Amino acid sequence: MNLSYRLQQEFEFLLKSKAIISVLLLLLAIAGVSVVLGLNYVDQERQQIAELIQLDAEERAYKRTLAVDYGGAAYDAFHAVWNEPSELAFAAIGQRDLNPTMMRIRALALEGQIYETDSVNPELALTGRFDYSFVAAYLLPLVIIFLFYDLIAAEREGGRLSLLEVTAQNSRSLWIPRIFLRLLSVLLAMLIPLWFGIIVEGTAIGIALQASFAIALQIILWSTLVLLVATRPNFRSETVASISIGVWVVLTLVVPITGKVYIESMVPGIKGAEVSLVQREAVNDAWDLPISDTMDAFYASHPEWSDSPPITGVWHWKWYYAFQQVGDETAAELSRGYRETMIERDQITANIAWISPAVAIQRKLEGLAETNLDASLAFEDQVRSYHEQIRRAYYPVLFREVPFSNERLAQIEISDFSPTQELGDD
Amino acid sequence: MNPILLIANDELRFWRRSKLAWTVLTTLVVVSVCAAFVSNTEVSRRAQERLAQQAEADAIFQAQPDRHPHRMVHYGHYVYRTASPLAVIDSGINSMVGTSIFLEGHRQNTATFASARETGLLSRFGNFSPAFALQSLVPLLLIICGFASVTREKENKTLYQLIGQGIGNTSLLLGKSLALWSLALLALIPLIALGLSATGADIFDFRQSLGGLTFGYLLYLSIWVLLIVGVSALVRTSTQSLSVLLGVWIVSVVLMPRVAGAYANAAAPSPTQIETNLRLAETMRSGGDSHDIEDSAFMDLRERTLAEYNVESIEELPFNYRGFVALRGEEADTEVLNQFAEERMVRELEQKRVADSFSALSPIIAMRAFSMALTGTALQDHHHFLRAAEDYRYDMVQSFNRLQMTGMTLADDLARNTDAESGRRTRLDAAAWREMPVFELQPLSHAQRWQAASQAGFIMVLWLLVAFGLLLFAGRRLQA
Repeated sequence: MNLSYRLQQEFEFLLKSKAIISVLLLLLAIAGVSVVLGLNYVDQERQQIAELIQLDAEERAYKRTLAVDYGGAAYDAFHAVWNEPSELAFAAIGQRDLNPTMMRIRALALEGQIYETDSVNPELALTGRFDYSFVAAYLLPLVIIFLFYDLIAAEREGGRLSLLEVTAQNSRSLWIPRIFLRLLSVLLAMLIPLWFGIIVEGTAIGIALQASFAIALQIILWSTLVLLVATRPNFRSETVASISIGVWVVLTLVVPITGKVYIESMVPGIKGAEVSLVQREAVNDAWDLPISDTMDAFYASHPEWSDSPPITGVWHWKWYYAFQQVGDETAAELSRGYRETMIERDQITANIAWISPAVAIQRKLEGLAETNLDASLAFEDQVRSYHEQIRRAYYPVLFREVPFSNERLAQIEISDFSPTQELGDD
Repeated sequence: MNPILLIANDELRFWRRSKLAWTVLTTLVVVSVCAAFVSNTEVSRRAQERLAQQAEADAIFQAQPDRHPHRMVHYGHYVYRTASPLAVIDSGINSMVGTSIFLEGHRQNTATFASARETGLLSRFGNFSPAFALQSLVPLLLIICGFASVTREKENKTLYQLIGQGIGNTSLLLGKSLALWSLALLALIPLIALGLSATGADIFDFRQSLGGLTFGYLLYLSIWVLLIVGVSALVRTSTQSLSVLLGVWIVSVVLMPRVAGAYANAAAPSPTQIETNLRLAETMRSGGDSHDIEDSAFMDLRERTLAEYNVESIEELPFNYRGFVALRGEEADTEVLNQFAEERMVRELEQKRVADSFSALSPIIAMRAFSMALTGTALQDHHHFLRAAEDYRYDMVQSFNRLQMTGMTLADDLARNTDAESGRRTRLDAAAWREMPVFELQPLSHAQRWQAASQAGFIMVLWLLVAFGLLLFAGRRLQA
């Protein structure tokens, strides 16, 4: 019996097994639906971004026509920023819905603006997303358990095991073609929908291959786990199934949930709400402080404007923008702490991924899809430097106390936000 | 002895000798106790945190110096949401929503900073709470314990003997169910213990909900018990039974809730926050800027007020007209804001309704809705908090606007930024904010929670009837 004959034999056997074929088709269908939903989501987001850019420009242009001074013009001028979904985002939407993805910012204190997230329905968010990474993390292992749990026991319980072992030359040629075919079929059921999405989105080939490789690795890992149990002599198929499901429950449900509790108690960290509280306090207190206090603090970090004429009255726009900036500076340390809290928690999550394949595959896919924390923080950085650009665009007219004219205002040009290009240098 | 009890007793005796059953039992105990412990620590830690934050915010607010009251309108105040005492059983949407809202004049802020973002990826794997254990894990353990309850008798050819002894098919299946049901009862103990030891405001009211909750979980687990024994009686081999039951568990527990969510999002999509904000800004623009008494939007009001008081100019009015405009402006703004807020809440509830309709396909969706409603951690509780915070905001802002109206003259108010003496006179005594009542969230009452839960409860009863029908059907088909 040569190998190709055995493979053909096993292939026919596989086709005849209604249960296995239907489970594989079910997996194919579920993965397919998840990809279609993901593509739909990404498409919707791109449309929203396109609409945002258009509305934003119109609204800003309209507001400019109402301007009577530079400070007021800056106060009313919102600028859209957005985090474009990547070409693999359809497969792992990740935390995109909980992280800020699009907003409109202005020259005021940024800490009060940057954490604005979209309004999600909390009850729908609670169940978690139904995306391709969910299928890979949760359902794929269950399908693998189903394909392998009675690989040997079924033959034994059917009374065919000894016959098979006698007719086969060695046990390798008996089981390897069968295992191989099942692995291949489950891999295809997972990769066909993924590659459909990849082709539609035009994902870079390197990223596409890495994602496929991660899926293959997940399949190999789980099939090894199940086979380790299934090949134990004298284990009945129900026992194999129960143990495998038990392992799945522990690795996919218990470990991540316990990990979450662990993370929250180990890294209590800084809450976002504290950052905005401090920033708000600083901005509010400025109203009661002597103007010179604020201006001194501002000039200390912005010495280039320190020769600006002193403020004589009780109100000046340059004072207003100065205390906005001082508010940000006051909260800067906390804001960094908030960021570090999230990074630290993410690192613990990375460690948990070593013991939970479900966490590992989701992290990997979210990393490739740029829907993870790193991508969210990178976006935050871009927003910060863009905000800096907006702020500084108005400083010359404010601090040089240029008399207001629409012509001069029109000269203040702030290029549109560009999510890919590196902005500024600080 | 009653044949049902006899069979149940027999099944329990079998379990005592079975290693698998002991493993399941140990797992059950460990999972339930851990879930109860973890949930309890977490919820009480968060409750402490929030109490401290609220106390701090109150202290900062009350310590504000003498000020112009409109400065306080912009200074604003923070309110924190206290979790329901039964959140130890089911934390529901708590981690998905922000727990604090910043309240200020002229606008409604959303509850920001959900802990889910701060925790990251893992927040999506669920919460380790008795609710999670009972909804997801206990059915799985029941399956592992019960999938072979009838098939085993078939495979060992002992079914003949049982039926030969004159035990009816239905009694046989009911006896098997009773044995499995006793395990389900065991799983409920941590829930009851935790619920009874929970403390907090309105605890008596929550005790009533706890009764309903226990009953609901018992109903839910009974559905699984009947389903498991029914399937085990319908199929030929234990392997088939296990495959079918695991398939049912995966589809109904793992897959369906997410499909329901995805479907609801697609079927009733919500506009983005930015879109809503732009629309809101446009609507509010026509309302005018209440800081500017010369704003054309308020000219009508001026005419009417002057006519009402029979005076020629706003200076002659018996109150500070500027404060009056602020008061009326806030009133009009709030009307628009509330309209938008209500629109959003209605949309969220509509999405929830669409998602909940999937409970016809999976009992866990009904159970989740039932559980969150009764523990006070559902969407409607969040909306209740938002509304309470908004009422508090409106009262606070308007009390300051009224102070501005009565506590100073229009001349002083207009000159406050140019004349130091006027500025001093418009700075009002801080007693006004020191004495402002603190925010206290009155949770929804048991009756309101029960009303929200009743539909899901009804669907669970239907599920129970279906499962019982399946069992009877299996009994009729069962042949030795």
